Amino acid sequence: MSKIEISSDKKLMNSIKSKKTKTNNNLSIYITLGLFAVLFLSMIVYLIVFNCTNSRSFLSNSYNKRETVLMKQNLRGTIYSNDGDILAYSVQNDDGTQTRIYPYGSLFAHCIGYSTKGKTGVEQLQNYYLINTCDSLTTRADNASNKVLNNSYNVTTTLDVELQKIADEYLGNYNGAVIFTEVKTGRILAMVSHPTYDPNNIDAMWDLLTVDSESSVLLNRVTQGQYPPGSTFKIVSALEYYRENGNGYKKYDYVCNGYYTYGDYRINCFHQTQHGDVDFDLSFAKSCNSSFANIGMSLERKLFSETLTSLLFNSPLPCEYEYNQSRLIIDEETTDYDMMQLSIGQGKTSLSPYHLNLITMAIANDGLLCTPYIVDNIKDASGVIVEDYSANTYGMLITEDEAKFLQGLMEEVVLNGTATRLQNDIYTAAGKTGSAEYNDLGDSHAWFTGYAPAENPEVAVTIIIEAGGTGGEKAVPLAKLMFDSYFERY
Amino acid sequence: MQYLFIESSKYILSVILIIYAVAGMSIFAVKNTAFKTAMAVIQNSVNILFVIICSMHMFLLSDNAMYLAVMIFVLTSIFIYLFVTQTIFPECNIYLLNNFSMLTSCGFMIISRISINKSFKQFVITTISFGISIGLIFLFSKISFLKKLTWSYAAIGLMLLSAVLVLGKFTHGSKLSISLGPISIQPSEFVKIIFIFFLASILWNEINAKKIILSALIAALYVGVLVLSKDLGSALIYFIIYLFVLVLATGNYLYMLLGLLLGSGASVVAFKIFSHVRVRVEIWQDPWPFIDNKGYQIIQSLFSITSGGFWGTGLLKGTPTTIPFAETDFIFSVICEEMGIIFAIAILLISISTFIEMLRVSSKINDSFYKQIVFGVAISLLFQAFVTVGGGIKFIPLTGVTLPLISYGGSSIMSSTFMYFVVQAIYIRLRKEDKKAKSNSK
Repeated sequence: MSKIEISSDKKLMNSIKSKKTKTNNNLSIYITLGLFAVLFLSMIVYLIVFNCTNSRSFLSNSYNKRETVLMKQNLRGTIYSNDGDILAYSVQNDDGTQTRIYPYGSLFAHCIGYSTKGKTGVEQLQNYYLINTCDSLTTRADNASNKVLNNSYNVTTTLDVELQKIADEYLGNYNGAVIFTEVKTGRILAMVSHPTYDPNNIDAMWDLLTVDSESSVLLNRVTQGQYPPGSTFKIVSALEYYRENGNGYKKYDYVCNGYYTYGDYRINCFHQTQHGDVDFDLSFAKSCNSSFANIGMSLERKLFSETLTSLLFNSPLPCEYEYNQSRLIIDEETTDYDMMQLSIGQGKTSLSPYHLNLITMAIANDGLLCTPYIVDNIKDASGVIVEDYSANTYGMLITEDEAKFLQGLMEEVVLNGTATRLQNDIYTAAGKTGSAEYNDLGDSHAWFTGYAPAENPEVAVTIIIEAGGTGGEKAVPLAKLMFDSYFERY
Repeated sequence: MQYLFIESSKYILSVILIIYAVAGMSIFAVKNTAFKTAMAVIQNSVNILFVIICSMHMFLLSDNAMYLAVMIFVLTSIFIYLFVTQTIFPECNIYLLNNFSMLTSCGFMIISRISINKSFKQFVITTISFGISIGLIFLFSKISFLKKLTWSYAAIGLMLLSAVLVLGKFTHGSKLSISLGPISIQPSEFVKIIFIFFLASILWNEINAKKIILSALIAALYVGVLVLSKDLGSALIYFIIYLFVLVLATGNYLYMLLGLLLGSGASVVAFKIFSHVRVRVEIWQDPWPFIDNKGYQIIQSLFSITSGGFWGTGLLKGTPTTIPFAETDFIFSVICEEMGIIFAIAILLISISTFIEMLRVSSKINDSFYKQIVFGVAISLLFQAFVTVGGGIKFIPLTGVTLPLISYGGSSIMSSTFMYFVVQAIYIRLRKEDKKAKSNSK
C-alpha cells in the first residue's frame, strides 16, 4: 500500500467516526463547558470585587482577630494635625509589643479616638492604613532580621491644634461641644467634646469610663449629643416663613409685650423682655420668642415637615463619625401649642451640634453643602501621598436665594442683635444665638452657630455650652476667640 | 537572605502557580506535540518547586524540622504518582496526572500549615487510594460486565446512603458519616461514583421513556435521602450530575429545563418544610445578625478571604484557623488568606483545566457508557469545587462540602482520587484500543 492510500483510508475512517460520534452528543459537551466557564468566571469576578470592596471594613470588625497578627509585624502609623504636629504615634517596646501615645492627652480624644478597646474616631476611620505596612520587600526582610516592626502608613488630618486648644480651654469644666469647619471644602478644623478623657489611659480607665454612664465621657457630643436647639431653630422657622411668604416677610410687623398667648397657652420672651414694635429682621436679630410664636402659628404643617426633611431632620447625615439623627416630627396631629413651642426651638425637638453646623455651612456657602471630612491624606513612610481626600459636595440644602435671605438675617444678629460681641475691625461675622431652657427654673444651654467673614464666608462654627447661660454672653465670646485665631493665621 | 526568602516566597508561589495554570490551559489551544511535552515538563518543575518553597518557608519561619519531613514525603509522593503511573501505563493522560499531583501537593502543604499530623494522615490515605487506583486501572482493562450491574449500583448506593440516615449521628447539624470502629466513613463521597456508574449503565444505550423515568426515580430517591440527612451540598451535587448526564445521554435540552424547573420547585418546597434549609438561605442573605452563632463560621471565612489581599499573608502568617473546620469545608478560604487571591484563582483555573481535559476525553469516546462516566466525573469534581468555593465566599448559600483533592478528609481524598483514576483507566483503555485498531488496519 502506498502512503497516500493509507492517509486517505484514515481520512475516510475518521469521517465515518466523526459522523457517528459528533452528533448532538458532543454539542452538549461544549454547552456544558460553556455553562461552567460562565459560572466560574462570574465566581472569580465576585471573589475579586468582594475582596476589594470589603477588605478594609472587615479588618476593623471586632470579631476579626487578624489585627493582632498585623500588630506583631507593623508599627501603627502616626496621625498628624494639619500643620504636621503629631497627634498620635506608636513606639515599639522591648518585648516586641507596641504602645500608643497621644502627646496632647485628652485634647483630641473624641476626634482621634482610641485603638486598643475597639476603635473610634480617626483610629477607626483609617485603621486599614494605620496597621498595614508600606515598607518594601527588602526593608521588611531587614526589619524581620533586626526584630524591628515595619512602618505603616501615616495619616494627616485637617485638625488645627490652636483652634482645638482655644475651644478646649474655654469649655473648661463645662460640658459641651464645639465644631469648626471650612464651608467651601468641608474640612473640619476643630471638634471638641466635653467632658473628655485621656486616651493614653484608656486601658486602665476603661471599666470606670464604661460604668459611668451618667456623664458619658466617651460620647462624642458633637455628633451624638442631642440638644433642644433653642433660638438657633429660628433659622429653620424663618426659612419656612420665607418659603411660604417670599418677600412678603418684609411687610411682617408685630408688637411684643414680652409674651404671646393663644387660648390658655403662653410663650414668654427670654426673661420676659419687651421687644416692642419689631419687623421680621428684628424679630430674628433680637430673638423675640413672642414674635416667632406668632410666626409659628401661621405656618403650614405639611410644608414645614417638607422643609425639615430638606434640612435632613429625621434623616441620615453625611457624617464619618458615629452620630445620632436629629428628631422633629410635624404632622396634622401636631397641636397649636406644639407649633408655638417648636417654632422657638423648645419642646420635643432635638438636634446635634454637628447637624446645626451642616445647616450653617450650607447657608454660608450659598446653599451648597460640602461634606465635612477630617482626614486630609495618607502618606507612606517616605512622605509620598498614596491617597488624597479632597472636598466633596453633598448637594444644595437650600436655594441660593434662601441662603442670601438667611445670611441677611444672621448678619443683623451681629450688627443689631444678640451677637454684637462679635463686632470687630478685622473681619465681619454672622450667626444666631440660642439659650435653650432645659428646666423650669429658666436655666439654659448656651448656643451659637455662625460663620465669617459675612460677605465671603470661609469658616463656620457651632458651639453649645451646657448650662452655660445665654448664647450671647457665653457662646459668642468663644466664637470670637476662634475666629480671631483663624483670621490671624490664615 | 533567609528573611528575604520568607518575605518574597508568597510572590514566587503565586507567580509559578499561575504559570502552571496557564501551561495547563495552553495545551488546549496548541496542538503541537513537542509544545505539549514542554508544558508538561514546566508543570512538573512548578510542582516540585512549589513543594520545596512552601516547606522551606514554613521551616524557616517556625524552626520546626517536621516541615522538612513533610517536604520529603510530598516530594516522594510526587515522584510515585508521576513516575510509577507513567512507567506502568505509558498510555496514561499526563495532564490529568499532573493536576492530580499538583492539587494533592497543594493540599498537603495547606493542611500541614494547619496541622502536620493531619497532613501525614492525609498522605497515608492518599497513597493507599493511589495504590487501589492502580489496581483499578488493571481491573478496568480486564472486566466487561460493568455495564450490566445497573441495579446493583442503584441498590448498593441507596443502601449506603440510607445507612447514614439510620445509623449516623447528627454532627454540626447534618448526618454525614457512619463509624466503623475508629474509622469514620462518609459514604456520600463514594456513592457519587456508584451513582455515576448507575446512570451510565441505565442510559448508555436504547434510551426510552421507561429508562428515563426509572433513572429519575432513583436519582430523586438518592437526593431525597441526602436532604433528609441534611447533607444539602451532596444533594445538590447529585442532582446536577443527574441533570447533565441525562442531557448528554438524550441530547435533549428540554430535560435540563424541566429538571431545573423541578429542582427549583423542590427547593422551594424544601425551603418551606425544612428549617435547616431556611437557615442556610437566611445566613447567606445576611450573616451579620448571627455573628455570634449560626453566622460565625461564614463570617470568619469572609474575614479570612479578605485579609490576604492579592498576594496573601504568606504561609503561617495569617490566622485562618479561626474558621471552624478550616481544613475541610473552608480550605479555599485558608488558601485565599495565606496564599492570596491570585493563587486561589490559579487553583480554580487548574480545576477548570481538569474539567476541560476530562470533557475532551469524554468527547473522543464512542462507547456511551464510558463517555457518560467520564462526563459525570468531570461534572461531579468541578461542581463540587463550585459548591464549596462559592459557599465559602458567600457567592451561594453555604452547604459544607470539601474541595476535591485539597481538603482534609479520608473519604473525600479517596473518592476524588478514585474519580481521577477512573478517568485515567478509561483513557488508557481507549488509547490501547486505538493502538490495536491502528495496528490491525496496517
